[in-house]
Amino acid sequence: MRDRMEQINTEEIMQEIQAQIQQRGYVRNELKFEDVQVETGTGEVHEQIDDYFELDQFGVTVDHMKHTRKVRCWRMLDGSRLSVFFKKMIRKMIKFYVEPIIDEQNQFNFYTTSAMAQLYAKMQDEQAVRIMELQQQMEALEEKCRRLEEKCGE
Amino acid sequence: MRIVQILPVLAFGDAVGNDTRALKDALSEAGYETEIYAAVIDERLPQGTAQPFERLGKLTANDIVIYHLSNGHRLNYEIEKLGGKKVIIYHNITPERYFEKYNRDACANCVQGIKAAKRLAKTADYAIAVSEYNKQDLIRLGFTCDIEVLPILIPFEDYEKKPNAGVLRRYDDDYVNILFTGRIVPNKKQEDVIETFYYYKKYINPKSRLILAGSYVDVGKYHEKLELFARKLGLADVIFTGQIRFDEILAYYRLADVFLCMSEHEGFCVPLVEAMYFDVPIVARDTSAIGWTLGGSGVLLPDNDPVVAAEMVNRVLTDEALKEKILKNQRTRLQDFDNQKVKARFLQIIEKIIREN
Repeated sequence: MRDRMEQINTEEIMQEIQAQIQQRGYVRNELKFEDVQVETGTGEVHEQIDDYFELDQFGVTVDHMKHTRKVRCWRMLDGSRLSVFFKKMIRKMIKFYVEPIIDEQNQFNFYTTSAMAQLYAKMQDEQAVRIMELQQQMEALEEKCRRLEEKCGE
Repeated sequence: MRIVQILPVLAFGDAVGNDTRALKDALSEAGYETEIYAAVIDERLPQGTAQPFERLGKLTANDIVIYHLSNGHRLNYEIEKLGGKKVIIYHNITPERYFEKYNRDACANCVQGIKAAKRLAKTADYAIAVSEYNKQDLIRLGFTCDIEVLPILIPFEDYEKKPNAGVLRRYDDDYVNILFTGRIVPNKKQEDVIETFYYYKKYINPKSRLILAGSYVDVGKYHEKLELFARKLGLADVIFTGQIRFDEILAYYRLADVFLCMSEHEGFCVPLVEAMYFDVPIVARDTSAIGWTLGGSGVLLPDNDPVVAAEMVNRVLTDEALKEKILKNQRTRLQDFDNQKVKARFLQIIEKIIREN
């Protein structure tokens, strides 16, 4: 296969390129891709992993879902008067087909968003209960420590 | 005797799906009774293109099962239970390390795929690798059966369709268009393409544009990070197209002055062949299957040094004699992917399997 090819002297090209690099006086960019960190919606920098779980971030995502759940089949048309007229005609012609699909999608979005919001609320409740339990445990242990200290002091 | 092709997902317009459908056509034209079975069939495909996997009836010892292996899926474990000769077509599984930082699900899928491939190595009677690199990968995975190298069948006739006029109008100007096509995923190292573009635009040609054409839904965080990287570098004119229509892809290839591929892991890399078809000179990093797919054409970079890559892009664009040589070589290499040649070779392989059956 390679014998059918036109020979290209890549070594020579590479040498010329190295000389060209010296001439142009490149300053190497100090920013490395690995150092770039994307901020999450909570304003904090977390791991970049897509399915990283963090309750506050989950809340932000659910909030985004709520704001975007309603899909509209209507939008402002732009262009010249003639093109807007034709676009309106097309919109009217396909309305019977598009609207039911949009309705179905909206229904699905509604159920999914509600389910996610319920899940988030439940997680928050559970977290609150867990925090309360831990607080009680901590207070009990502190009380125990205090009593032991008193006992040792005696 | 039936020849059935099985794959987890028969998608519309992706490389594995196109290959599967083209192989079905080749088998039908040769007079074989054949069908495609998939767990998921893209609704955009014409009715009757494939059947749900559940409808696959009992297979006899004379039948041939061709399984397309490219990721982790429950079907990987169903193949060993089927009757007939098992032929594995290996499209490559991306090493999980590329997804570790971005998506646990994708990472687990790759791990599952490798695990299943090792298991399939024991049941495969024959294997077809879409590149020499993939053949070596199969050997590493424990395949001891005969392995043939057969390139992916690419539907070149589709490339003759009309390109999107809107895209052509928007970007057909005096800017240099540097193009890379493919999903925005970590193994394709789009960050190296962006960094190369940074040096090219800053030190060589400010009137230039980088087009990264490909879907970024799979690994969203990686895409966000790439956008931020480009912004922090102060780069304008970096275009992430996202998922686009086929006529838009055609338009981007028509607009491209150079195709820049810095990918670190490819099992074949169809976009390289597409660039060859559209007569776009290729500058690519010499990794995985890229060298094999280029087959001596294009220009290979030894590493991911972005300054060297930027200078090479400039050299290819400004040295007319070099560019002409590259394009001539690419046209020569393109002949090896001719559908008739690949189909004929595929049918030879099938006949060989039948004879040995």
